[in-house]
Amino acid sequence: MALEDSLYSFYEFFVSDDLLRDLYQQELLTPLTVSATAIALLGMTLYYYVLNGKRPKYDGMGQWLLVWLVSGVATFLVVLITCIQKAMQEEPRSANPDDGLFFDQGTGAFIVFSLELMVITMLLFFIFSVFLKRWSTHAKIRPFLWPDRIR
Amino acid sequence: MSKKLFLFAIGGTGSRVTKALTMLLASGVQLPDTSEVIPIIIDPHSTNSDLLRTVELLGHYQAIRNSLQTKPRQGFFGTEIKTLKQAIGSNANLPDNYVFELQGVQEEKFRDYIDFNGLEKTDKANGALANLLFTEENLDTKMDIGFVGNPNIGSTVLNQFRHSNVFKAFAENFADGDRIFIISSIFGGTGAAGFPILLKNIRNAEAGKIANPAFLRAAKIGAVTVMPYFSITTNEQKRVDSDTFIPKTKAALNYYARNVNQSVNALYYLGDDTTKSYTYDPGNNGQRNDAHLVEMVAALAIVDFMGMTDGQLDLTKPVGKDFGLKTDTTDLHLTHLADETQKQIGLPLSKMTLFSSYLNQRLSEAAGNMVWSKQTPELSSRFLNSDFVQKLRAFDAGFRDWLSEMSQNKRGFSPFVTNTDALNKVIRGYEPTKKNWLGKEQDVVLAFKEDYDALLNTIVEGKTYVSEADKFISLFSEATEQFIRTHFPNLPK
Repeated sequence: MALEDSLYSFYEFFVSDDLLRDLYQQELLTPLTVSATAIALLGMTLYYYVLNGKRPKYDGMGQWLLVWLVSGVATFLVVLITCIQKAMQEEPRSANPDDGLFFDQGTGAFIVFSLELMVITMLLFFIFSVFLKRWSTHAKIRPFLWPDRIR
Repeated sequence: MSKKLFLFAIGGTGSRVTKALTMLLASGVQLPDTSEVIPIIIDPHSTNSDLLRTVELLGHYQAIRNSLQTKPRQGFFGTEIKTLKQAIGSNANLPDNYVFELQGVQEEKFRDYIDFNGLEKTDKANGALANLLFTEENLDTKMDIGFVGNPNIGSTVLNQFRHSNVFKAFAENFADGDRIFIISSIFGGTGAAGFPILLKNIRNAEAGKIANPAFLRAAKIGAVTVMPYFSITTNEQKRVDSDTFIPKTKAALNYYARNVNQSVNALYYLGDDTTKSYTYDPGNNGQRNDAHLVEMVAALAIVDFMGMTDGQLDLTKPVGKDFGLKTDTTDLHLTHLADETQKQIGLPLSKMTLFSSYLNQRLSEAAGNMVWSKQTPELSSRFLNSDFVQKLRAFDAGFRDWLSEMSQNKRGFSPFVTNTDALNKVIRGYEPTKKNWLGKEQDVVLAFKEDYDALLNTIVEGKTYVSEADKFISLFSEATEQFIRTHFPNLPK
């Protein structure tokens, strides 16, 4: 729960309180954050070590941007679908009907939250790229050579 | 101990063979145990295109090599080529070029050169002798276009070489163990006359008259004498008649048998009966013959000569060699050459061709965009516009012309496909194949980016280079070699 608590504190800065509470109570903050991180890591690995592992076949900046965007969209979809599925379960927050149902904030709130995690994924993808691309033989210059201007 | 090679290239054939040698050396063909090559081109026709093209290429070769901080000992541009002045040192009183400039041949008729009119008046006996030896046509020959198939003129004029500063400087710089190679044709005027004269002057070096006479007399001398391998189109005004090539060759061979062969340690005879006809054009910028396989083979004679040990080059047992093909055909690929020849030139020329293809078809796109180019020192678009790359491109244009001309000549030699991005097709006759899952042979597809750039990226990892130019030449020399060894396993190496 310590991780969930930490994530709650983190998401407090930009996620609406109602949705954040539901996510927290359903213990979804950790799996969604892990998913977003895993997707970023997978996307990065895919670009540097699979698509351009043996040959510089997709090493262009355009391809990097595409994988970057696809990773973000993947997170967006995962989060959005999770929230919608949870909403469709129509699970009451408590025995008191006035407390309403979990995830009753509406699709608009889900989309905003999904977009926020999408941005986080893309940010992580970028950070992973910067620090892990140095071991890539064929694509270490994407999105730019720094900090790998090494001999 | 490394030795110097003094390369005397006489006449148009001399220039063309020197050009072929330059191409081979640029490609990475090695002259065993040779520290430097010093070409000295002897041609009265100083404006002929073949000579000018050769001199220009030598200049590019040298400029490229001089741009490298670490001079390569193998691979591309791996052999030092110097002018005689550079070999001796900057204080030498010589022009810093590859061409020995004959005196008294510019705008001068042979009649005036020997002062024929004066002879007839003041020295009647010699005048009569000159009258006997030279026809009116000989006497009226203007020598700035060469000796136009008249070795009797050539032998008179070329004798000035032994009194020249170039010959003296050559003798002073000739050390024990250095070698001499003489390139000439036997069916024209300049080469046929120049070879025996040069040989005589070296072998008859006398103490007090020339430096290092003992070294010169004992020097290991090799020579290639090229027999007819092209002809001249007939017209009314022609002064060179290709119908006389064979009789002249026979006469010269007869002379060589008595006066030359025993003075040369190794003599290579080359020729071809499949010939192409050129328009007779002796004027300024004339004599532009297409490159020919025979010239490349003549250049290989130099490689062979430098690879022979001193023990093999015993003047009491002069070595005579000629050249044969594995398959007699008019359009030759590497596969038609003997395995030994393929081993000598197959890998280097394939490397250079691959390099050339990359330079022309891929470099501008890849520089600044591929890992290998970004790795320090970065090869950016600024580098592409540098003087070094311009020189390299100029040399490469010459290389491509050389290949193209050889392919169009008779007999043709077209071992490579130069304008394809399917790299598996580059070496004719050695296209790699693999079996598919049905067991059927199919082409292995090789592309610039996916295969060649991938290799460049791999090679550059962990390497350090002292400059952009060093990186470029070293990296591509290594990469082209690995690429060919990996993907063309059947090419003899």
